[in-house]
Amino acid sequence: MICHVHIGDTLEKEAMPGIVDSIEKEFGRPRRPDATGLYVISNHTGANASLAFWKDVIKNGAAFANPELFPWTLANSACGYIARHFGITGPNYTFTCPPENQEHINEVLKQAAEDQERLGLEDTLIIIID
Amino acid sequence: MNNSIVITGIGVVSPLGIGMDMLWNNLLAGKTSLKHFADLEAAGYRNTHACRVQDFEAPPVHRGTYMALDATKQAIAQSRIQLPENTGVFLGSTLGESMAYEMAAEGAAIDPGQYNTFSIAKAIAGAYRLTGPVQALSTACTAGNYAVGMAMHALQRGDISVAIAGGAEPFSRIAMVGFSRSRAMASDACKPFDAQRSGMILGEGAAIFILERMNDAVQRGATPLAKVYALGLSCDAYHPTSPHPDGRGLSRAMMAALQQAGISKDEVDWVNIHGSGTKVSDTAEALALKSVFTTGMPVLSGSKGAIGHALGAASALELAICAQGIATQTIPPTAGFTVQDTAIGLGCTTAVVQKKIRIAINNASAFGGLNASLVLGSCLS
Amino acid sequence: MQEYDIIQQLRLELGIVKPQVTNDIRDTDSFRDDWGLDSLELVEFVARIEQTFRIMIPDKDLQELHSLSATAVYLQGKMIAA
Repeated sequence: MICHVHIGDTLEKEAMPGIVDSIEKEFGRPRRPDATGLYVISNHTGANASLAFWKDVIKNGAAFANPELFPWTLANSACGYIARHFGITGPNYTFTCPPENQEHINEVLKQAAEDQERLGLEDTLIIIID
Repeated sequence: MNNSIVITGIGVVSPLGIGMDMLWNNLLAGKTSLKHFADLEAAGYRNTHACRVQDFEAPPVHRGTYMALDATKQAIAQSRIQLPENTGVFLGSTLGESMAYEMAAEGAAIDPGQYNTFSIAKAIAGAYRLTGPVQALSTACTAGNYAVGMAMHALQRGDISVAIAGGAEPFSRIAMVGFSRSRAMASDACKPFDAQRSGMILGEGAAIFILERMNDAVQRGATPLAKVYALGLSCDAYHPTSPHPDGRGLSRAMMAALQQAGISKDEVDWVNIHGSGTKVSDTAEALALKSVFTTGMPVLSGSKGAIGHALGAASALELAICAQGIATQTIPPTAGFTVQDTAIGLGCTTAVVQKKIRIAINNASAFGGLNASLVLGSCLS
Repeated sequence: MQEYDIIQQLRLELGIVKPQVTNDIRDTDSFRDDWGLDSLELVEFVARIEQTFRIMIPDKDLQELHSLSATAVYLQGKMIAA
């Protein structure tokens, strides 16, 4: 299934609890998290945290910066959060590209379909984050 | 086996040398690129040791792209290939051009979205006027393995006939402060699997490969260096930054890769470990290795003591080392490993090992619980 | 700065790092064993302490910061030394 969610300018750390709630309400939980593939497509996961983290470095200095947001600076942190929420231990991808790029999204769909067949996945969760 | 996917060109920009030959010779000589950096000390960083690429000129905000382009040029030259227009580009990075985010936070009028992993992949495609698929994998420290795996799948599906794949990561001040303040960095050196290990050392670089089908490579007279058999993936779904302590995720990734490749664990001759040098990660990886290789441990080696941890480029650089090792039937020593940790109970080779290498695994793990194991094989009969 | 004042500040920082840590936390409770702070939460807590008190805490001292009272004693020692 394909799900569109929005982060915008909100910090990833603050946005993700609401995002997983909405995914769960709409689609439920995967039947077999160990046989579920997770595919996140986004052009900016990690960007808001990167900016906020570096602003803290500027304010407090490299020696005193708060590492709280550092794990969220990584683009795959959102995908990791979703995996932890649902307990999904199957393949976990984060593709970076403009979310309106249909050609690129088709490539991801192709990979997801191949994984499903090759690995015998029961569920495929594709999440487009803009 | 004619439909095997093979590597026919390798390009590297690493702290231990630009070009595979220089990196390889330095690795075999047991050298490390670890240095103290005065600029980091002057800027008040608590950790001031790193592995950085010296003498590489690039505009700072395009450093990762320039490294990737340089490595691509080398790989094409070695492969002696005329790239078809529909060549695919598959590029992994953790932060992309992280300096763009630093500049934006400092108030510069810059859109950091134009400098992410996708921008580096697009730059490679643009440089060679390619119209094939462009994929940007932002899967942190496993990104290089992911990118090569995606290229392999696209070649196997017949979508493309040639792929440019690998990873790139410029030195990132965000990562330097982040890992330092997360207390994940070694104060002195990265010591994979060593009893005295105390953390990771940040690196940078790029490694790019030309991949194609074996029969195509043979037909045009190219020299296949190594086969790419399978990529095994898993997610720990356990903690934002720590692996599952029993290593179950990495174990599943290795098993999945071997299963997909149709290769028995007993056929594996060499594992290039992720070996970040942190207490927790190395312990989990050792348990994963023990759970997979129950009847005999392959030779283990680690690269991060010599070249640091290049994040999204790390597994690509280490894949280059694996491919070169397979092509030359040689395993390089593990810089930083001297004393076996009794809690780990596994040792890495400290000497150059020359032996028959048919199958090798390149391990990678990352924040977010990602695990990616790539199985490679020899092209020698 | 008195130990009581330091502990009050530490409670404030701890509540930000891990909101599940309530006012019920006793001064001698273990952050890790009694309140389940993991490694990531502990380094964030220590970073907040460093920012608030402007004191640099080296890695080798981290194990001393296992409870509110132990942390307050450590910080007092650092303040006197400074």
